[in-house]
Amino acid sequence: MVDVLVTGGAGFIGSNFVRYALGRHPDWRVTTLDKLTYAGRLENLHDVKDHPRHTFVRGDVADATIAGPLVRAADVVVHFAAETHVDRSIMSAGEFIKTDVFGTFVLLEAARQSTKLRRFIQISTDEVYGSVAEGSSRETDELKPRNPYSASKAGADRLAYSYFATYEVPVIITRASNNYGPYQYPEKVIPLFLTNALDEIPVPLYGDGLQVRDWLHVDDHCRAVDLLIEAGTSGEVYNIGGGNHVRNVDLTRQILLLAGKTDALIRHVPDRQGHDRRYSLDTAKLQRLGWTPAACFDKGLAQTVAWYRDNQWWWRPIKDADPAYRSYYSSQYGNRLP
Amino acid sequence: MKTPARNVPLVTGATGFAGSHLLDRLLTTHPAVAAWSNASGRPVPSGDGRVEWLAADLLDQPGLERSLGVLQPSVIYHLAGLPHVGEAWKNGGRALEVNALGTHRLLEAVERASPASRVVVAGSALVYRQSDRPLREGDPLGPSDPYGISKLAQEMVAERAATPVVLTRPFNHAGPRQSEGFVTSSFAKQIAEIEAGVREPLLLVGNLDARRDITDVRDTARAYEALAAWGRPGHVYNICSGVAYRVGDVLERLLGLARVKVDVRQDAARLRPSDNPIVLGDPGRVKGETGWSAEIPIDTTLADLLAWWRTQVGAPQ
Repeated sequence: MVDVLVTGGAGFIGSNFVRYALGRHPDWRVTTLDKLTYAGRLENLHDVKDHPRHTFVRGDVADATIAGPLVRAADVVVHFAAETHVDRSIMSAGEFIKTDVFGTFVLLEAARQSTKLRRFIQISTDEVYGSVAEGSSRETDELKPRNPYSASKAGADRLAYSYFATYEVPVIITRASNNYGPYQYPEKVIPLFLTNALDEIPVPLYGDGLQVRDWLHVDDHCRAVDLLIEAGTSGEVYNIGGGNHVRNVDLTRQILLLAGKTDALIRHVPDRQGHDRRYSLDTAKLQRLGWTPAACFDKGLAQTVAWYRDNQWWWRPIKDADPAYRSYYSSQYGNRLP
Repeated sequence: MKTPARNVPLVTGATGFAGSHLLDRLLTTHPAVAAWSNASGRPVPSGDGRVEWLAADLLDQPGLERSLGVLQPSVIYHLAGLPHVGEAWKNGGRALEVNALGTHRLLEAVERASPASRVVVAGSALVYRQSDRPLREGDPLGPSDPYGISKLAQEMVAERAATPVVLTRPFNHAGPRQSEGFVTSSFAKQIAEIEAGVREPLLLVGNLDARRDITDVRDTARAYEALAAWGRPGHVYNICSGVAYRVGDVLERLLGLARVKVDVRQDAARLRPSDNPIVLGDPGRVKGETGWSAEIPIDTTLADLLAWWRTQVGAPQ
């Protein structure tokens, strides 16, 4: 059996990976380590939490007493755990340094003492490259993170590399573009706009909406990580991008159309400070290993919309607990709020 | 509204200053962009297979209809026109012909051959009557030169066309690739030439006290895209930063970037016959309706403009 530790396995991408891994690899025993902050939720693992080859441990990656033994027991570590929301990092960067940088350090320290570890996947982000006006970022490009979130991830990214270079920890670093799919916390643009739209609540679009993101279906991301565990080279960085360059305005209109709503719900709000205009990844290196994105964006988005429409049990409690949403909802719908 | 099958936007005047930057922008999100240029204008850049170039004559309506019928562009950015340098002063008739009649023929052709296309027309802030306050779209019109008259005629033609059109009034914009007929670019070119040793260390300037609302050309190009996405047809939008820079201040910023010492002297030949003391716009409407605002700081614009001129005059980088 292969022991796989997934940190942040109750988060959006992590929970999709846990589900994918259990289904795909009958010889894997998967341990999820998750602090269950706001975006890490056991509901994300509702159908696999009690799987016979799955163990759930609640804990902080930055706590060596919990994370250390789990890392030392693992053949493979996939390190998703991170604070990820750019807006939150702008308001308060401290948690990002603690979880994203220090948490990674704790895991790497344990990894270098391990005698059985054969792979440590450091999940980084395309945002470490900063905004790219034209062309696509390659793995060898300069890192120019522009907000506290991406700066924290860049720190963790390079720290992980240093543990390969210094201690020969079998680290692989992935830099993926924006993910979408089921179980994404409704503070991120696709589920936020969609869940608002389903309730006829305006969607707040940053600036002119001409920012461009390269959307990656979370299933394609899981397949890429799986491939890299098997076929990647230690010490290397791999971009993972969906190749779907979509302007936020078009994304928003498509979501509204799929939700059966009109553009009248769109509200322009002042742009985020330091908002990166465009990300774009060159994924030739990963493609040489045999990976290509399988999801067609239009179809993937339609399926995602359908998932949120059909799984309101999953997101309604989150929205209802949000004071801003509550006050808006109650002002619009009065005492119909549960 | 009908949607064209292919999502290919068209830029007329694509070899021009703003047109070339808009083309660059659109290529970051579209697999292909159609680009029209004037057969007798600047040479067409080659090498990018994603650009479908065509030498188009705006006065040849049957030709425009044939091309549009095949192309069916999703959006038409009409940036072609006689620019506000030298030529329009000497030949007001030609400005009227290209800017007003050319726009009329293009819009007729759109109506007949490609009615589903959205159209954005690049007008000019020089249609306004001179004012020392920030100009708003409802302010009195009254162009004071032949170029402004041709752009007002263009706007009126477009406003009354059967095809719905988003109208714009861009104020001064600056940045790489700008013709030296514009004051900011002229300064930058002279500095680059002085640096390269091909010009005496003496910079000839016109009126340094005039104040101009300056936007980076890449922000202006983005405004056209934002207006195609959000603008209401039949309405007109200022495109401006809302900040008026004294020409002398722009010059000082550029001199601060120069690698050599430069003397400055006023040159009577560089004073235009009717130089407005201030041209300042109010960007409230475009900001409110599209979320667009000018983002690139003036110092970045000037540094990039100077860097571009250095490559043009062959100075070492």
